[in-house]
Amino acid sequence: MRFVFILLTLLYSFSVFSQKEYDIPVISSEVLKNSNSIILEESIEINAENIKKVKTKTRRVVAVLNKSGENHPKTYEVYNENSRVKKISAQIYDFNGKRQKHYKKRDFQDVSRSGGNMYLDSRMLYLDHTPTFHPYIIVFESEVESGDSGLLNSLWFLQNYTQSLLKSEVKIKYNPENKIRYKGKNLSGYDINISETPEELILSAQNIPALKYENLSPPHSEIFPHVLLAFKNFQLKNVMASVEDWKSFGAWMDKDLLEDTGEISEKTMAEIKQLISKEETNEAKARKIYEFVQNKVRYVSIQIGIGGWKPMPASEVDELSYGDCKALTNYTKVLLDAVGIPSYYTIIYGNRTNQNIEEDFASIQGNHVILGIPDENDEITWLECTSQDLPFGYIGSFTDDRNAILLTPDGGKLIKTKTYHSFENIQETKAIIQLNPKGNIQADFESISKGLQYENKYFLDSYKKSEVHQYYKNLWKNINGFSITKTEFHNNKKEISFTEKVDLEINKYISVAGNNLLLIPNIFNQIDLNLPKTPDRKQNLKINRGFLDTDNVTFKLPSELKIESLPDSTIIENQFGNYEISFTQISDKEFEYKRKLHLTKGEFPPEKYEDYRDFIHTISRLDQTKILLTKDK
Amino acid sequence: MKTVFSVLCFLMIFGFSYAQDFRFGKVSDEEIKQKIHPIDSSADAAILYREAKSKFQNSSDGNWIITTNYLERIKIYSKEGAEYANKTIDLYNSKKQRDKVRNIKAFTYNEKPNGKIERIKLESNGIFDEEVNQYLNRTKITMPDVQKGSVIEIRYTIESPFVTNIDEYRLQEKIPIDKLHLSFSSPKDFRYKTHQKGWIPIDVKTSSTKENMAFRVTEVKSDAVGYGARKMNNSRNFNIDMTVYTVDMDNIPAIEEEPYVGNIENYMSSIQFELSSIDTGKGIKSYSLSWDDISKNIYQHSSFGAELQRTRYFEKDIKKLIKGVSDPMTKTNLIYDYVQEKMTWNRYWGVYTSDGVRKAYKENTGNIAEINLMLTAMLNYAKVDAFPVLVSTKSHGIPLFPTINGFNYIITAAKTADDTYLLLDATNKNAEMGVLSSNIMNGNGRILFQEKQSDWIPLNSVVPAVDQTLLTVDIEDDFEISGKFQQRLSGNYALNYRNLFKDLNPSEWNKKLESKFKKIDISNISFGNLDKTADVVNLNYNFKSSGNIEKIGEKIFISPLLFLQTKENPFKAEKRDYPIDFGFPYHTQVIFNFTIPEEYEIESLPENAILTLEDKGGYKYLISQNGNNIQLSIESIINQAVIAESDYENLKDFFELLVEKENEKIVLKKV
Repeated sequence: MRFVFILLTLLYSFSVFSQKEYDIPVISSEVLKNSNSIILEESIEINAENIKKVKTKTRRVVAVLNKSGENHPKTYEVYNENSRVKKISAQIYDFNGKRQKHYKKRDFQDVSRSGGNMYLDSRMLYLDHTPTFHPYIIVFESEVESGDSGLLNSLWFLQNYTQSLLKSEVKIKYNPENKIRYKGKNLSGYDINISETPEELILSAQNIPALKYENLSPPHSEIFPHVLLAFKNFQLKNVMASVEDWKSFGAWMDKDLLEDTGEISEKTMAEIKQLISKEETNEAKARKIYEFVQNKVRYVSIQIGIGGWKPMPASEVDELSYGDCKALTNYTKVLLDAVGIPSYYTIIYGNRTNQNIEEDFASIQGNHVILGIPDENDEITWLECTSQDLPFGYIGSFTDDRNAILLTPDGGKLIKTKTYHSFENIQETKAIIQLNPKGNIQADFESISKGLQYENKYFLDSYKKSEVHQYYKNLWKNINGFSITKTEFHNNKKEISFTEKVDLEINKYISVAGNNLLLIPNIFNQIDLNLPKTPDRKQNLKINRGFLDTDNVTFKLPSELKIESLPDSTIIENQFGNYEISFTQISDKEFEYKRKLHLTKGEFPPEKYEDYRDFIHTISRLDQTKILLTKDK
Repeated sequence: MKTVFSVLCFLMIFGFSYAQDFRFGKVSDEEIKQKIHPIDSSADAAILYREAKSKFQNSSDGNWIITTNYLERIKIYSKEGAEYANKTIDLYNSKKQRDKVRNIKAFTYNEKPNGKIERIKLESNGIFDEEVNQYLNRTKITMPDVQKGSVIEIRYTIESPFVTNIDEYRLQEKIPIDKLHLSFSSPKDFRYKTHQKGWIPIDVKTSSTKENMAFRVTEVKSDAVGYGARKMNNSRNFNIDMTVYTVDMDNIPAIEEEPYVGNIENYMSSIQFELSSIDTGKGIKSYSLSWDDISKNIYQHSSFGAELQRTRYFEKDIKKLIKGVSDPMTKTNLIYDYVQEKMTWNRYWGVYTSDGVRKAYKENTGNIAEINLMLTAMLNYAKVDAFPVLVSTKSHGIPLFPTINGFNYIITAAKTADDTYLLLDATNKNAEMGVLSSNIMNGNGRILFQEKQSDWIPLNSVVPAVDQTLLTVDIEDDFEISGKFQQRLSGNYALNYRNLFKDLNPSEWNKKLESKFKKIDISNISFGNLDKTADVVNLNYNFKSSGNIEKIGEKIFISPLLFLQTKENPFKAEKRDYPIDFGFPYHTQVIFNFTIPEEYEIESLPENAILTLEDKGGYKYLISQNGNNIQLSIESIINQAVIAESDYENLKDFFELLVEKENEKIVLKKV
């Protein structure tokens, strides 16, 4: 009898399932606008009552409207030794709500995530689905168990540009003793609700329209609505943590993740002491040690251990002479410690979009580590320890001008890294151009780059001849065919400046139109940037970094040519910076072209984008200004 | 006597001091102290010695395996060279068998400041095993304590059960190889052929030897007591006749990358061993001897021939589709469109079906073989002569010898009324019938007529790639240019535009076009036939441009090609080692029409010009004035997709002149 009953329920539920295929909700035009995909419904239940075993149950229904939306649905789960994917499945429906395909766990591809890294102890189960029709609906369901409760650090309502959301609900259950902290980011203007009880946090969102990617806008972390999350007590690869603010976060990291990594051999210790014995200042000593590390080690990306958070011990780096950012930074710190120079292991986001560590919300953030050395006034000198050739104290655009967390003996401390001001980022070019009657040019070019512009150049020093030539051929695309006769570089690491001297010959640089000879005096620094129009712009215009370029080019004409007339000088000045060009006759057969472009960093309201675009396009046009020459009879 | 002695002495000293010892662990002080490569001073690293010794063995389970002992000695000259201190070993898996790596042993040798040599061992913490996916495992090695000047020695053994499919041996790298020794030893009964690639001569020596080898044998023994027979597994040794192939090479230069080269691996020196037959004792079992054998082998494979024979799954649909149609070309067209529309390629390559044509048909998705075999079968069913064509794509390289593994793609050849073949690829949703993507047009494909007959067939698009553009231009009062742009694209040009624009939201067309052409504002874009692959793509828009006109004093200078001007020569390098690949032959024509503004007259026009590349291509620049109207017509033609490196100089000059010509201006002056 009992058997029959079970059989009946099975049959019953089966029939219910097969009838009730997907019912498409009503989608408003607001949600549809600019969308290539729509999250129709999303429900995520996270049970973190036991922080050593966080269970996450996900159901996400995404409508993919066209080919561009195909890669929008998140149809994968990552796992490692500390977590496992218990269930994972996906179903494909057409827009009549009829099920076309059902993928079970064994249909998912199980692959390593190492990619270009030497080793990453993380794997992924992903769906390899070939859409055969559009639009379609994908229902993704998964259950994952993870021991790394510390990695539950944020929740994003939208995963992509041109994706919108109809409805989402996320419930996080926790132990009332270990409440979750949260902070909403970019939520204003959206229908997003956050409610909490002693045991549960509920995030719900409805009708979020799609965002469009706009040129020169702030990074996605400053645009997309999301909520930062953190438990007071959490676990990361079997290491427990108790964190309330950056101070306690720093103390935890320092104690539990760094403490036992600082041993170093007597031999190296002696070597280091010998190395710095003649140096008097801390700075001079630190320079020596940084150079020592740069000469000794190489960067190899190996992400094992505490979720990629614990550095490889200094003793191992000492022995193997390689490591990732954490290992190399920690190693440098240990060597500095050995000679009594304090330094701070610093957590940061390494990228070119100046992504900030969230100032007032302590949680696991960042993707990179650098080293900060304080002087007596607590001014910090930053070291990028993964580089083997950057100068001491130079961090460049990968980690400049953004919030970072210093791990000091007093716990974690939020600090902003060095900002390179536009007047520091200079490129000064001087050139002397000798024309011949056939319109050929011989040019002596010399240029000095400093500040952030240094990083566009310093590598030339280690390039092979063929690579150097290729570099200039790409840089001066505007010149149709030239040959380099000589190059000379001076990489001044102390002053952090790079000097290039290039001698080149250009055949037929002057273009002929009847009796007119046209010469573009801006040979070496033409802006050729094409900024697309972004009508109905929503995001601010963000210029991350400024710079100052000056060019002085002297032209010497042969007796056979004469200057017909020189163009007028032009000065443009506005909120973005200024641009000046001038043409000065020096003698009968000699004139000078001067150009100055100063661009400042800044964030401007969306409507300013058009002005900026105009400015750049005007510069680009003026950079093409021609001088009319004629044959001197 | 005295002279003889001194000569001997000299020889001994000479031999002693200059012979490097390449045995593992015998790194010399000279090698460690060497600062730059003696021949290629710009080398970041060099392989001082590479050895690969492959040998057949009988494994414990009774099957043949190939054991290869690798040995490599690498010198690091600069920090950039340190990347050669990381090594990746790929190990392949099939459902039943897998490659294994054993006995990894490696050392780094450094000179200490005091001149002493230090040797650091690779420990297990520098070895990482990774399961990439179900077909591939990877062992990665990163060497300890690598410095500028380090010498690295790595030794390991790979055991591979895949005796019929042996990876190529690379004989050239992006760094110099000073000395190389390769040996490949197989039982005489296994006959291998060698195939070479690259421009460096490779001398393969063959010799015979006997090898004492242990085999696991099952013997039936009758028990002495008489209780019957017993099976016993024993190991017995046999003397086996072996054939040994050896290659010894010195001073192999580094291979250098060049632009527009397609796939540099096609030019890198390598050697490959191909199993051609096995003498089983009872007869010779052939593996792959000729292209006809390949054809036969492929046909006989259940995931090919049998799949080609299947018709039941589509009969009903195709019957309906071609009902009442008798013209073979019309039928071909209908079927091509049908498959192209219905099927979506799942991004898997290969010459064999995976889940089978029937399932693919049902689910509307399949791999290359599934879709194009299906197409072939349907055409045959409709009484159109059609054959599969094996292709090696550009990214896959050109097959060195008759081999199934040399191919990774199938297309379909349909016979036309004039007995030529139309090449079809229904996996490409954007290609007009008869257009192949440039990655497929890799020399010749192999057309499989039937089980025992095959032939080469050139891989070309039948539809020519033509780009015709008409620009009608006005000069506005503020010396801006406004105009109308009308373009017709066919063949591979149409394919490229469909690839770029078809899946984009029309609101994104503007951005895409404006970033393609600089300094213009585009409006009123309309595309025709992005979806209809049978027709030419039409693109029309209005534009405003400020960059191509300039008023200097009383004169106006106009670059007549506006934003279509070729501004740079794609060929910048002084010399060229490899052929130049344009992707496909092309023909472009731009006609520029413009009215001289009032109060102005022509001061000068560029001169007409004709450039030629002999039979390979040409360029025509014709300008004429008619009243206050100027018309310019520019035609440029490249007749073959690939042009030999010997023509590089001509090609470079051709483009230099072309760029120069297009840079010329129309000059107007005030009346």
